[in-house]
Amino acid sequence: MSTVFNTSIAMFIPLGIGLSLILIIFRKSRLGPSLSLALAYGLGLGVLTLWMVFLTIVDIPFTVMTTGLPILAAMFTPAYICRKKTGLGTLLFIKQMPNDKRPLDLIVLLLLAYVTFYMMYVFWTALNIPVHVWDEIERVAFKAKIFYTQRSIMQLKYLPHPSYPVLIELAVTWLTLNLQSWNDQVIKIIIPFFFLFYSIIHFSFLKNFTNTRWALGGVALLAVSPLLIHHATMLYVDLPLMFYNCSAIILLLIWDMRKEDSYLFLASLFAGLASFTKVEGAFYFIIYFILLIFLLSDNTTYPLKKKVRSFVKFAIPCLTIFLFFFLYKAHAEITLVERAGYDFSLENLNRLPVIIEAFIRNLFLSGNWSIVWLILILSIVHIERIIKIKQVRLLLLCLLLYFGILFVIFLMTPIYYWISYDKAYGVLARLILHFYPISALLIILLNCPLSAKNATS
Amino acid sequence: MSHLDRSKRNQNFFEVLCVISSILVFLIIFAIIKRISLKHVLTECLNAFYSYRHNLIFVDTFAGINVNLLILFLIITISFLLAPLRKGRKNEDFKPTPGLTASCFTALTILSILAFIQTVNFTRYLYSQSQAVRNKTTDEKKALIFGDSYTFARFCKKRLPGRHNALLITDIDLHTTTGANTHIALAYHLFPITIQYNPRQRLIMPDYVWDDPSASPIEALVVFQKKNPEASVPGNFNIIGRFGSENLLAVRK
Repeated sequence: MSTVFNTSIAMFIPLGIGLSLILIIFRKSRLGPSLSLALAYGLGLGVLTLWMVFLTIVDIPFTVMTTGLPILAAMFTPAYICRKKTGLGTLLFIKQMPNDKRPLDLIVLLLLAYVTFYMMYVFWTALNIPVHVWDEIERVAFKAKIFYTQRSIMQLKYLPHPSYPVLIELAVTWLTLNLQSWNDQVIKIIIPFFFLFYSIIHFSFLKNFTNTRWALGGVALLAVSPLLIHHATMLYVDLPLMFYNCSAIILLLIWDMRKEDSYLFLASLFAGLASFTKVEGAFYFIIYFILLIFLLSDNTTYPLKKKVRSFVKFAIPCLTIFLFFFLYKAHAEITLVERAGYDFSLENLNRLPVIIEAFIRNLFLSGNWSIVWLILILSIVHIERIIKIKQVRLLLLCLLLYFGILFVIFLMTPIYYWISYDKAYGVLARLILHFYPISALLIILLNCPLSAKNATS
Repeated sequence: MSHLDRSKRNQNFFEVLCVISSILVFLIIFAIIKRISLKHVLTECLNAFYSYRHNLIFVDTFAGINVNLLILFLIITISFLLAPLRKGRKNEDFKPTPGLTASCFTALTILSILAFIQTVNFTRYLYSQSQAVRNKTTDEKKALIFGDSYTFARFCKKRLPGRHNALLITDIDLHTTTGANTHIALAYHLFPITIQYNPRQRLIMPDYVWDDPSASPIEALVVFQKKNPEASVPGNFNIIGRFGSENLLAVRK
């Protein structure tokens, strides 16, 4: 019973921090409670773990009192003031859209049951099977155990992969501080919540375009991937990176739709936190900036000065978060970057057939994604939908950029080793997982009946 | 619901039935050609679409052909059958292209069937896992998963509580994947008794470091899966515990 209580407190504090920040960021507008909660989880965990790095810098050991409570206390007053001004928004979980003639029909109930089953599966498996896979132990749990024992991250330079970001490791450390003893099962609870809350963000985005049935279908497309479900039960960092990465893309698109800078700022924070979750998150900055440049160049209402200001508003927070941990590593004499070699020689073109084969096998001939990628290829023939809806074009652009980045990395760096031998495709599958939800979004947007507003846009 | 909506819903339902019937016909023809029972074919289908525990999920082959390729073949074939039904069906969003919209519809229907099969298998897997861990504590589960890598580590921590710098002596080849997995599990469960150095990782990445250079001298010997373990203990160490015939713990005198 005390484990349940302590775990609840451990989850409540980052949620509270995140919600307070959401209220402050969105003080001029309303964000629904379910979406607020979903975004608050990622934001709160990120802020909490960055604070823990700061505590190490100023040589204050991690405890519950020094870690979670100061931030929560600092956020409370401004959040309370903002709450009084704007309110918390509607309490309804599913708002009835004008094109939702019968929001709770049989298909919606079946989809809800389907998604609910997988949520239950993910939570049960995460909480009942202890950590046991290589990366769970070597990459996350062992580091977190050492951080918990030492009450700081001072030992990081002597641990495996010291240059890797530590958001999830510190989140596990935080959880253990509240539990007051190491628990190989309960520490995994962080990951299923990433899956749950990303599903809410995914659903909320799709609801801008279509009815409940198709929006839920988009969430069901996430659960259809056995690999995603597998990762939602394990203490790997790929699913959290998927959360931050895809949420940043979605928030940028919503900013373009609504023209509210709160979304831009939040997108930037999520982009920064993606770089604090896994090394690849820093590479994905290229995609966020390219997307932003496209959005700004397409915008005919903003003057040049405002466009530059928007770009800077996005660049500063995400780069600050990235540089904060980067500079800490430099100061603590920790390896800054691992496996950083690259090679532009023409001989690397010999790698092309192997890389292409690896992608084809992984996307279309494996069981990782069911037949989702095949359906996406078939859906792309709806050319008029691509022409009609800007967000579809932008999501397609993002998808191509993600594949492009991976291609270039495999072509030019030693990471090619990880897909060059037989049965090595597990690494590629995890990389694709980071942006897999974009395929689900595209399938829905290319096939669904549009809401009246989007049908005529 | 308007007449148009009802008509569209009925046509969709009819097309779904067509897709399912076509798949069944395909499976029956396949069973006849291969001279196996339909029940066997359906069982193979049910077992083909799941794998819960890997970063790369291989699909089975059906008559030597990758299952996903067979699904693609099904989609194309059924789309040709459905296309005439969709001809002339107006759609506000895009021009009527019966073959292409039929292929999307077919693929989504087949995906729904696959999702159903997958869910059945996930349910079976969930049930088997729940039976395996039923009424077991975390300790017992870890002993079940890791075996000696956990139970011996637990034994060592009871005999030698607190933080100690130890050396691992073993017959396991730590440069192989299996050996490295055993090493990492042992190191993880032994902590705060530390034996971190990972030979396999250092082989792959020469700059891989997991040893604190300022660490104190070796205070303990963890002898694990070693034939004749006593012979590995030098004179300046005392054996403080034995665990089976190949494992023991020794501390400096």
